[in-house]
Amino acid sequence: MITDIKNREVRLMSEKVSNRETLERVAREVLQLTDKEQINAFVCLMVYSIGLS
Amino acid sequence: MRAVESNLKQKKERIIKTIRREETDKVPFMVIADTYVPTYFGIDINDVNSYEKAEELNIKFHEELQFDVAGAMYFPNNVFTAPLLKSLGGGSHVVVNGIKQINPASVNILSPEEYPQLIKDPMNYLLETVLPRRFQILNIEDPEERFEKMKEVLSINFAFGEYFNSYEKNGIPLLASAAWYFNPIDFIMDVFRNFTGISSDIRRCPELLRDAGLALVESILSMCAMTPPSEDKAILVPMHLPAFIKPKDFEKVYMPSFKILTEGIIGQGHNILMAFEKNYTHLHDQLNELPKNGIVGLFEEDDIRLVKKNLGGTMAVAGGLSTKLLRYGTKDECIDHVKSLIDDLGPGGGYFIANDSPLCFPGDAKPENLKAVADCINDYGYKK
Repeated sequence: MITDIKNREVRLMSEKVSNRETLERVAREVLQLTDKEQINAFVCLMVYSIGLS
Repeated sequence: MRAVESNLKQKKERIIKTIRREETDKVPFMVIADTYVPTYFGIDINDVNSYEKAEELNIKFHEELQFDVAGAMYFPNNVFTAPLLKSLGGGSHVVVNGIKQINPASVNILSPEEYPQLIKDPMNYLLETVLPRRFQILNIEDPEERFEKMKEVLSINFAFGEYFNSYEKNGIPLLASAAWYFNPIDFIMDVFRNFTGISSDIRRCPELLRDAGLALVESILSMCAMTPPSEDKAILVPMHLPAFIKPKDFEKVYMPSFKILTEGIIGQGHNILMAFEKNYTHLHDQLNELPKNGIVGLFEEDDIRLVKKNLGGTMAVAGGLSTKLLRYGTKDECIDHVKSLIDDLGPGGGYFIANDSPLCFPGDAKPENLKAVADCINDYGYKK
């Protein structure tokens, strides 16, 4: 039982999508950005934009 | 060429020359009016519930005062800020009666013990560890739901971007660029540590604070590189902490990242509008170490004549127009004040006559005083 729960936690942890990955997906799918530097700049912009809100 | 385009072109030329500290045909009039714009016409801020309404008021405000440039935009907070905060699920600000206010109690979400992690990987540490302490959006477990919420935030920003573009479309010269940033140490103070926290860090761990500031420089540069530079625009950078710290602490903690970042931004071809909030007289020597091109300093409490004398070789200077006088003075007192500023600071160029603090609240300036000041500048401001 405990092993099952631990395995589930491990699985969930491994499936966790980071905030960076989510923002990179927004950059690719919504803004159609393909350049790695531009995607990174967009992530930075969102960090500052969210932070200052 | 339509009259509005010709008028805009003429004003832009004045702006460009003044940023370059060259003499122009007229001392340019810069207005910094945020949520004051509706109240100038007796309209309650809360009655502005669409960008169309805000745009209509901006057009009327420009037609009425014929300023050469708006230093910053009017933010209709009920249309932009309030929905944004709702989508983010938190913030260090709240919108009360149409005014954006900081909630100081919510600022401190980073401990000084975390500086090493911030320095090591600043963007990821903020995004995955620090900011989720304040914003629910960053804690949504379902990846699809989080993705959809991020899209919602982006669409709010897109709508605001359209509103930003309306200034140009409507022939209203706007100095503020689409890019923006805070200097690293101000960013750390305003967003993560608050004034009490940063004051303690300056005493207890100045090197870590300095290095945290330096660690943020690259990300700000990459962010600003997304916006193409324009010679009639400037990135608005509000400056907060330096007014409250000693020159030696400024040198030790604030200056390293500030100087590298400023040089980098100027190197990208941008101009910078530094809003020196409060008084910077104690730092004039250090400010002279900044690049000698592309900077406009907007001063709030400094003696503007002394500023031009001390810093006029480094930056274009804006300010001097007493908001206190606009609020409490008579029309004649305001007109005398304007003439004296134009006489003393106009010769040689490099001066924007501008209100010394932003107009936000209904009582910040008597409309009849502001109108008298505008008419006087637009007449007396021309080169004799």
